Amino acid sequence: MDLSDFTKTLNYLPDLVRYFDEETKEDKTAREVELTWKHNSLSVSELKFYLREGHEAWDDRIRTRENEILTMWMIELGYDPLYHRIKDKKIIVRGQVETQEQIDEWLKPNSGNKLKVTKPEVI
Amino acid sequence: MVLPSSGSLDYNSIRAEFGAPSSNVYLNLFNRTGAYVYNVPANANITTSSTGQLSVSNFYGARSKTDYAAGPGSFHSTGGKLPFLYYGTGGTGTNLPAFSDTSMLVSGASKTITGVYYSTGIGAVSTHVETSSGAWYTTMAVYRNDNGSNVGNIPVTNGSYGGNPGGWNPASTIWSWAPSPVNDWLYTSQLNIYKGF
Repeated sequence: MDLSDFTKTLNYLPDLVRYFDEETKEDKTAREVELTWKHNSLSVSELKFYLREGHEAWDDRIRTRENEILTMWMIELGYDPLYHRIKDKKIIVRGQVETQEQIDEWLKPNSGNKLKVTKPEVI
Repeated sequence: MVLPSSGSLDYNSIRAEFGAPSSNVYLNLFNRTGAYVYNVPANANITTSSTGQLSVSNFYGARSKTDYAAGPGSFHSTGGKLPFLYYGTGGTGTNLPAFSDTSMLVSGASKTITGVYYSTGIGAVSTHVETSSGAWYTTMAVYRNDNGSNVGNIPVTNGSYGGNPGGWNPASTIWSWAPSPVNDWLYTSQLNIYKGF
């Protein structure tokens, strides 16, 4: 199931927040950002995250939070995380065989393409 | 990064530094060893309990997870008569558990780290640091997240690896390595926190 049809909005909160900039060795202020994830078609919770504008780990933290949110939506939709997980914003079955190559590998693990045929030695 | 060491500090500054999902800010969300705050010396004033007493002043100089990489400190033996033993986190072909937090700051620059481990076996004893951010040089401190202790320091002093013994892509993975005292203390059975300086 594809969960990628969501909208992520940024809302800049009015109050400034403080932090210490280690490069310039100065206390500074920045805007706090409220990020909201809302799915456009599914009936799942609207979820948020708060972080300082220009935070050094902005991309990393938001990517992590987005993965959390997609997993929470997956659970809300009734998928068991023991058997399902999120990959590329889609719900997939853990360990599911998907390609013909995987099927072939399972049916014949050491095919002639991978392992050269050799004549057995005479005992 | 870090919160200011003095002056006014409000709940929103704490939330904006550590990052949090809740519109209502409550301090016990940010207890040390919890979801948002690592157990490292900079955060020593923050209580480890979600029910412990906590005030805004406890957060002076506190550091968010941005500075640190983290992953389970584990052990793996390849087995057999002449096994290779691996101690630490992540790494190519080690069968150690992966890093849960792969980014860290070294001298202000963000680095991605995928392996810190000590290996020993027949004819080879070494400590490895695998990173996809190029070769770099630092002393890496290792802390246990359960009790905050500094279990040891790894001097990462040697250059970049350009070969391809394990089939992994040398263009995206640089292998720096450290001198090799016995670093089996990387096997903590706990979440290890890694910090470069």
